[in-house]
Amino acid sequence: MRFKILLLLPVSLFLFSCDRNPDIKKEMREAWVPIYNANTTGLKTITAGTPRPTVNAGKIYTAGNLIYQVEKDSGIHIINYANPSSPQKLGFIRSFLCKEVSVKNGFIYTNNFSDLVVIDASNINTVKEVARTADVFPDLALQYPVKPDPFTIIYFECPDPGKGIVIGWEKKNIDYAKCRR
Amino acid sequence: MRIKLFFTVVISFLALNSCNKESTAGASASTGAGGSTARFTIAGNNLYVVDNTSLKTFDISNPAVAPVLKSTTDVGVNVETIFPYQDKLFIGSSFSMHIFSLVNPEKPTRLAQADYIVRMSCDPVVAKDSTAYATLNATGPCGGGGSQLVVYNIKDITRPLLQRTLPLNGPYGLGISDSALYVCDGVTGLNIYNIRNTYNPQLLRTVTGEIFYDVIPYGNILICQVNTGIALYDISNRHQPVYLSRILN
Repeated sequence: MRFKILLLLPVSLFLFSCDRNPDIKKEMREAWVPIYNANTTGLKTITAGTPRPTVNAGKIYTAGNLIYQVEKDSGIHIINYANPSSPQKLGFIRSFLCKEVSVKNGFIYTNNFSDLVVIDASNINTVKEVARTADVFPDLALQYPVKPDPFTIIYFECPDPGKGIVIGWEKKNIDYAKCRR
Repeated sequence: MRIKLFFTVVISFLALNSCNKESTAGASASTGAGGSTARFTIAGNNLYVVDNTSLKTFDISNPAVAPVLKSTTDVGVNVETIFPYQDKLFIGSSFSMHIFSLVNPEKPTRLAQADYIVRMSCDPVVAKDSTAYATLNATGPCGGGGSQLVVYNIKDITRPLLQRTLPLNGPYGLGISDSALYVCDGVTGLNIYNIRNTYNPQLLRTVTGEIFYDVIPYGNILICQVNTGIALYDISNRHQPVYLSRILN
């Protein structure tokens, strides 16, 4: 029985991988339409900026006197706690779709979109990308709209990678939403 | 029956997908420490990454060179977290705790898999010496109730033995420092257990007043991810954290 359940799991996974679905009939309905950013180079560029408020707090990591906290989907906050009675935000490293962070010898390992990037952050003022391995985390860069709850089926226009990277979704009435999840 | 089972699995899997947990830690000199719910971890010259089903190993011996994928190892389903301890990786999934050996660091090999009784849950795992601790969050989208702290005897690393289960309300990350185990129990607060008797954690106290998602014990400081930001506690006395400061979101 247990074994059967395990066998079914990959099947259920497949169900919300939200590929084009030939069973979806052509009809006018409210669906999500991708908002593209064709400037993929810009979204795949690592830049540093001044401290900013934390809005979607993500995972934390510490090394030395610094805390690195993921700002979900946007980047990494750098916090100095050399004086633990008065921690200070030092800056922010932008990395589109950032979800994970690890650090070794001052080098940050994170995801930028679906790529693995290595960032030299030993000096917050001269942060720069030093290496990148492309397309190793497809699941960290899923290109589909978020479901309001697990039980609602949503329809959306299948993303076209040729138009750029999906940076958001808007609701529209369209006649042929080929994707659903 | 078959259809019913199928839908049950699909629905619970869907629910699990939205399960979002934060983390805890293990420390070493140049790499620092991450949380128990991380999907990335560094050990030696390698970066280990878990996705939904597999463990990927990247060679990062030279940071200036693009990380090279050395191996991809099947782990299971609904894999969520990775935690390094000594020459092993502890991987948490919704159903099981998986233990991998890093004797060959570029190609981790499976040592053991212990299946949980609470199967649909969110489960980070940490370990120290001959004991592994995992929180099973069975609330809300994560499952159907009955959250637990589970304690495994891993003296024989290939045969984890369930020693004890303690009830929790809605746990997230957890962390160990010496004889203290810190468990983020969501809105209940931060539970501090004495684990001098490693298989039988004794609840000493609970720090209340905010929602705890994640902890990293790092030297004498306990870094806590809470709903308002990050709170720091002095844990010079491991069993009695003293509030130091916070950085607001």
